[in-house]
Amino acid sequence: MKKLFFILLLQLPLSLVSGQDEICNIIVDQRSLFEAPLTGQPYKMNGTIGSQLFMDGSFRGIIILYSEDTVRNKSIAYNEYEDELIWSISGNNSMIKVDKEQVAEFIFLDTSEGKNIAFRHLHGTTTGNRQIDLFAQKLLDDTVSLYVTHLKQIVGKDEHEVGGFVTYMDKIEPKPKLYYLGFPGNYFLSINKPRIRALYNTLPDKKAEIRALLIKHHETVRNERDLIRVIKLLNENKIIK
Amino acid sequence: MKRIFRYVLILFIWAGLLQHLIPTETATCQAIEKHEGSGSQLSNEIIYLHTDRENYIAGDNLFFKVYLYDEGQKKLSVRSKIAYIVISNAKNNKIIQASIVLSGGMSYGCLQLPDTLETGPCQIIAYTNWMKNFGESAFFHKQLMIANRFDVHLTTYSPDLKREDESGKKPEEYNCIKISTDSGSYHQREKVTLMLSLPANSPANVSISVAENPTERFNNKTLAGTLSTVNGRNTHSGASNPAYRKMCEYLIEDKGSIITGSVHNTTSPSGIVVALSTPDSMPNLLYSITNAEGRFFFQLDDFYYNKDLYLSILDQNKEPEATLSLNDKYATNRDQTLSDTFLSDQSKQFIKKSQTIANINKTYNIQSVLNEREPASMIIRRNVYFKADHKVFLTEYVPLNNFTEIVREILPYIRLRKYDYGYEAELVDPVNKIYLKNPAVFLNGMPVNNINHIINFGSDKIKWIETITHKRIYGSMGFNAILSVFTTADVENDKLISPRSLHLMPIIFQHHTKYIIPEYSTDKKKASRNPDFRQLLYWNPSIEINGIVPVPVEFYTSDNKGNYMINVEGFISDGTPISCTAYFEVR
Repeated sequence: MKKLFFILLLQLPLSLVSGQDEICNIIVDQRSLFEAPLTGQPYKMNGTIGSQLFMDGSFRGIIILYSEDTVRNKSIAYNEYEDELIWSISGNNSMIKVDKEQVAEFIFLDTSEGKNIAFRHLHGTTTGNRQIDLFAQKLLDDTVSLYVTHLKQIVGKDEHEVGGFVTYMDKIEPKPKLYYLGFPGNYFLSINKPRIRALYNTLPDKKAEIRALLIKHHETVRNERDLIRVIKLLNENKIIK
Repeated sequence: MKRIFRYVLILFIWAGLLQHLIPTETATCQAIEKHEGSGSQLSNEIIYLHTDRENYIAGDNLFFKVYLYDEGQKKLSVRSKIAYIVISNAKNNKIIQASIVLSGGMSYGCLQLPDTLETGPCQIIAYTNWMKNFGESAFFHKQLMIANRFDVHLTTYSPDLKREDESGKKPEEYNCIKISTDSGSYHQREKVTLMLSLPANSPANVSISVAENPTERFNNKTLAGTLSTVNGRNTHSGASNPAYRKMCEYLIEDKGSIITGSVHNTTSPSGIVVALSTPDSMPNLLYSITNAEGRFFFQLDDFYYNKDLYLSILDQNKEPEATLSLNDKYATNRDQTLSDTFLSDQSKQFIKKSQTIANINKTYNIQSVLNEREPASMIIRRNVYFKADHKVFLTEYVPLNNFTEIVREILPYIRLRKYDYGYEAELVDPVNKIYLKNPAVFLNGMPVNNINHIINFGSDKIKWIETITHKRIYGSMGFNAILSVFTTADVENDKLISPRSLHLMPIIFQHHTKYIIPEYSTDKKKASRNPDFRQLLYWNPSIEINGIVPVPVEFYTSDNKGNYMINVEGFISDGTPISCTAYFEVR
């Protein structure tokens, strides 16, 4: 009798599983069947003193291409020193530098900070009709969006002696952050610091309106969080568009 | 007692085994049914074509509007983005095949019927790729009559005709919108004003045709009639439907056209890389790796439409006997069943009148179609690379006789080596100072991987050459290096590619079109001596009705006297179908 119940119990999960046929996943199958190809070239990171990578590593993420295709579930890293998106292939331990020309946006999922972090490819014109072409973290996604750069620069070279040979390694440190307001039509305006004076300098013709609005809402800009809040407020009140 | 337990035990073990041996079909159907119940993406679509008329003369324009309904969601489908339309004659020969891009489950256009068609009944069929999973009985079928302009005998038969006065009832009417005319009868070239309104305050999108009413009509279903029949019989969601067994064979074209095909004549059909590309000024590539059955799939985007496409097996040396075949999107298997009823005298009279009008229109070259300007879309190329490492324009150099000379004299970081079977190129990586063997070779933007096709080409046939002298990654593929050669326009692409490659005709979608009608707002225009014997007085494929607020529709009658039918079909925003008719006379 015990044996019979045991076999009956065994049958139960099997019969449940048998209903989960592949066919139910047709939508998922179709998406993976037509995943857009990422293009790039094999990448080898040169040694530097100081980490080159944003958040010091690779994370699971998605890449949104200019073709509007989304490439999911890739291990990606952002090289702040070279301003490049790196795709790590865990199987053969190799890294690919993804062609910047095809990447519109990439998102790090479930980072150690417990949130998704999105970077957008800022490719367009800025003040004085100058061209910009860089990745920047998306802080606010609105009619007028806000971005911040995470770039690194060489501050010196360190001399190393290995087996009688002298080698030099670049010493890198973060560049001062630069904030960008992203307008429709790929037009960007930079803000040097998260300060109210810097915002006025960026939008001199809107200074009076912004000042009135900030006084009305008892707002000021002292840090990044304040800047995000203020840009959101400017969007809501259609002061910038 | 023990024996009984033993038998029960054996019975359960067998039942369990059988359950796991058989389940692929039954479980699949259960799964689909479950999805359908919740309005999932696995439900069927129902397509309906509102045509401007049922009777045409060869050479006429057939205006249509497509409605695609989602059986699961019970409203206009936003899934499939492409609809296929086929017109075939009584002998089941295809007269016209066309495809149209859908937006929000709707689209409209115009098909020009060939001038040389024989008189006879025809069938217009419409479907989406996804609908093929449910069998051809799920397709839209409508019968039409097409007569040759010069056929005086009209001896053909016509299927399943119904005379309105005999049948005693007008076409079915459902969820009617209010159609009010400003008069019951009109004179020639007089203004007609229709007012369209809904009984409830919800928006609707409808198409409207106003055409001369033939005395006999085919027994075609209206939009609302089609949906009520389908919803009533619920045939496409039952596990008994054998079409479910073929699920997954036809994919949902929710992003654009999908090309499918197979690799044949090979012992191992899986894992073969099939490439699709088009002649262009930049190497472009889509690739698909064949599955266990040797099938490949390509999701096309705007870049690949309206262009010659080439399909090839990327690795020239792999499976040298293998051939490619493509699935025909327009292949239909269903035989038409047309009954042998000869045309009545009344029908003949109506067709003869239409023939005379068609001849007048042809003589005076009266045009009634205007293509709408399509909004420009941003086209993204599937570039293999974005910037070449080296680019050489041969016009900037002394003319050279062949490719070997060009390589030797002009091109940097490349050498050719001659073997028994021909030449091979090797590129030099100038950074790492290594030779990169077996580079990918592109000709006019298409992968050919064989330099020998162009080895005799000199400066007169080659315009420019690009090289990538480092490794490139393209999805799951890697190229050691790339050599890209672009020829002059007089070199035929068909001669450059491998003979086992397939040359596909461009995928062209129907344009949105407008029906042009004359207007007689002034006495001078009314007195115009240009003939106007339109039997189709008005056709508008997209009218927005905002609830109870009446929407005016204005047009002018022609010189053709007769009874006219106003036919309105469409959908209310909540997914309720509309099919209504009204009549008036031109004296």
